[in-house]
Amino acid sequence: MSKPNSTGGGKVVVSRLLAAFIPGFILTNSLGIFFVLALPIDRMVSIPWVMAFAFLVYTFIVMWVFHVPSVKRVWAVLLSGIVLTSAANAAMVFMGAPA
Amino acid sequence: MKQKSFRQSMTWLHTWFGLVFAWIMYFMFVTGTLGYFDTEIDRWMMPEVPVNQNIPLDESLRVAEKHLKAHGSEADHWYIGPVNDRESSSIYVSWEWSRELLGTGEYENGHGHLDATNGEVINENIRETGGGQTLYKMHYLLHYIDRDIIYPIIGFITFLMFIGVVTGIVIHRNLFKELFTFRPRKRARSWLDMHNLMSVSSLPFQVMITYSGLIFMVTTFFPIIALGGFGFDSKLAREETPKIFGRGEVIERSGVAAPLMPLEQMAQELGEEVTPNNIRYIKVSMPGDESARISVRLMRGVGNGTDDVLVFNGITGNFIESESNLTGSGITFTSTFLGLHEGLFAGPILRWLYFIAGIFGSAMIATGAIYWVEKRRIKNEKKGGSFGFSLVENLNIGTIVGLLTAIGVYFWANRLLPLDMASRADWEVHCMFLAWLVCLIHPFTRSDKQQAWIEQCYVAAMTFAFLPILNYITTDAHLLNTLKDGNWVLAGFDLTSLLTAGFFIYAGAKLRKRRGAENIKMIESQQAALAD
Repeated sequence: MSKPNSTGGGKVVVSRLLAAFIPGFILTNSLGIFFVLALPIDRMVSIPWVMAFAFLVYTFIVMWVFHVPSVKRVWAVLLSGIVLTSAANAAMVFMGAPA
Repeated sequence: MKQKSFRQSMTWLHTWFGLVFAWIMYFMFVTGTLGYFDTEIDRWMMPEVPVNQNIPLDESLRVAEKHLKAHGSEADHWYIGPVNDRESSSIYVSWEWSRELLGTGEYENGHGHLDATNGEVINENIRETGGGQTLYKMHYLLHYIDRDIIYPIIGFITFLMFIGVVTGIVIHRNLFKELFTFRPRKRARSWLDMHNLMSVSSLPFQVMITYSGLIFMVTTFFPIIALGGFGFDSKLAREETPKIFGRGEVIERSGVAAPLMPLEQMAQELGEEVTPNNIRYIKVSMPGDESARISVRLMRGVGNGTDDVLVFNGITGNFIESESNLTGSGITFTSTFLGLHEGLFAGPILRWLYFIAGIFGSAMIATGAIYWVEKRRIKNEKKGGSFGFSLVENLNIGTIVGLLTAIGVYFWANRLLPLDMASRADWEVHCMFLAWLVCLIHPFTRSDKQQAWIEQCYVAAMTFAFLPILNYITTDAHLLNTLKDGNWVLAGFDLTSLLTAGFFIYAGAKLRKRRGAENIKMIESQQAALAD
């Protein structure tokens, strides 16, 4: 049901949908964790803020996924974002980030 | 692929994310909007409930305590909802047993509505009904599907709705210009203008309601953020997370028996400032034990989460502390949005504004879905028709009008099903969904879709026009009496029903007139073609 000339043909749309709902969602989570761990704020305060703003971040990510012309680039950015934030999160957890 | 403008790609997102779930979103908006009058609908659907008003707090508490002592003296928690102006003309009580006692299978948590004047349980005399509560719960649980399965799905659809709102703002960024643009008699353009008018004029509400709808789902969507925030230490997260969300301190039984203070004395402890209208509920924990606590949840802020809870010693009645769920700025932020979503704080005028904004939201979705069809109509006719196009058109007719007819049928069922029927409340809902099913099938049987729209409008009009008459025949709580007594809750229901009927008569007549005009035009052009 997609218009081939607007956001890409069927396959491209499916790829975008998958990108938005799988790596896009994972990136939202790992970014959220990154902010909770990295911000110098009591996590009892920062966790509800980050969770509430995660919806806005996720909305932005989905909109971006459907805007960028190259699907390959979408996947590359999302995946490297996940790798980077997860690595930073893992480092902070293992080094015992100040809570 | 060619670079396209941000607006173009957002239009794509808006169109397709909006369309695919439009009918469920419409269902959520319509039932949620009715939820702003859930207790009013409850009262209409339970005409047997005695109308008691102005019952003082100590009276409510005395009656409630007697009942709770008789039925749940060893329960862990009692909840008492005193008689107040809007929500109930009866006292609500419930009691919860400890987990261990529930585990034996011999105990069951109980609840009841009590007549404040004589302490009798009125559940038994009230017809079994789902009431406004069932209708309101449908807006986030639908029906017939297990809660654990449906909750994330509704969350996902709410997220798509939010994307729809945000992309809508991006596309229609000339908000003010579009607010004053209306081009009637131009079919597709008129529907787009209506869609813009509905959404722009109620935009703050639409943004608030979808975003706060998502906030209800934070722990469903992002539990991993909380877990990760605690360094993936699941034990720590389990202990700490409830504290963030203010799920208060747990009171343990001491094992030493001590008599609970007479609850009616709480009315004095609370002073004159606290009336039944600003108490959400009173909770008694561990009654009969030395550690008993009485907590009074006051309706002070925007909603549940922002309330103050006054805690008293259950033996002496001494004030202990004022508890708040607001453990930090983040929780204050989310609780405020949740309170705004529920609108429990709203008085009659604001409640009506909520209701109207909800109708605008429903109309925004409906006009959007109709615009999708109208924009593609000419192209579709040239192509000789497609399955997707007619599916959307049929679903539009069967949902936009049909759902409302089905809700009307739900109210009819409340009055017509035999009072002693087994699982009567379930059957009310079955009637509603059966009626909706009929309305969904109906447009598929009509080749002339205009005709289908007109027929459904008239059926909806009849359903709502005769509802007050049915009420007159079956109960004493009809317009002639309720208007005379100044009972605006019940009169308001019947009047709204008549207004709804009026709207659908107007819509049906208008569609008929337009079809007449189009037919004449068509015949003229055919004649002209023949004459050539």
